Amino acid sequence: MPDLATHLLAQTTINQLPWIRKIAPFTLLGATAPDLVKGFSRWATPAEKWWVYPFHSPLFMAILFYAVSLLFHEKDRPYVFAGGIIGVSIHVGLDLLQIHLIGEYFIFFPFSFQTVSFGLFPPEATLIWLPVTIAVTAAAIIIRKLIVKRA
Amino acid sequence: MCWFSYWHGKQEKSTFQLANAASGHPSPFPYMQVISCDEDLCIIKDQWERLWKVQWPDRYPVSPKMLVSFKGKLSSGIIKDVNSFINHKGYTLKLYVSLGALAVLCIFCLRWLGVDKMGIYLREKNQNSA
Repeated sequence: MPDLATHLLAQTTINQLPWIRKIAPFTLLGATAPDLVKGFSRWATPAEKWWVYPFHSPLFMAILFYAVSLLFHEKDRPYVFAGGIIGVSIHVGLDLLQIHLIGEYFIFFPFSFQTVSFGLFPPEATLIWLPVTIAVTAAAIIIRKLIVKRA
Repeated sequence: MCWFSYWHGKQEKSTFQLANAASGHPSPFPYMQVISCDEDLCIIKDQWERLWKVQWPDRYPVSPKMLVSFKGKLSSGIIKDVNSFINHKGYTLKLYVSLGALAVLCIFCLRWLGVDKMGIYLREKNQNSA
């Protein structure tokens, strides 16, 4: 997985689009949700790690965000669900770009344990690119503010 | 679903079983820790704490404590033909960067979200800062 900072910055860049502004906070929650429990799995044995793998399944996350949305005011629930799903989709999309020798991302779970990977960059490469990611996100925020100011 | 996945994982074959089942074909050796390395023979440890001997090629420089993934063929108890090498440099740093990012998100969430007797709600005036 890319680090959570990269996931959050990528999502923040996308959140500068005008149509996503209303659900922006929830997209950030969605962008982090799949990895929230993954840190703990580092200290588990290989067989015990499997309980966190469904967190990268879009169906699992859809059910989870539906449940989470019920904790919110009724008027916010559609935004929580939609934002969460958008965030999770972008998170999983980024994860699929990295190289895996053995698959970890069961995006078709629970229907299949088939894994998918496009193998474009090694797992820790996003750390090296983090300054560039920060610069791109800052540029996106500045551009949006300039556009809003001009309008 | 987590429970189902956990029980599926209980049946997962260890790296040792996978390598033996591959019988001469390349098999993956993910997240192996380098214990020692001299000349072209390295001792590495898998996630099941099993030690392996690897005939290490010069083109992939390694040092003790490095975390690496690769593909190789198990032959006479030694892994040969190492390829598809990944150096997991920054594996621990990534965890700390992620925890830092999570802490920042938590601070923003406290600003964006409020709680009352009807549940959690989005504070209208702060949503534009996301």
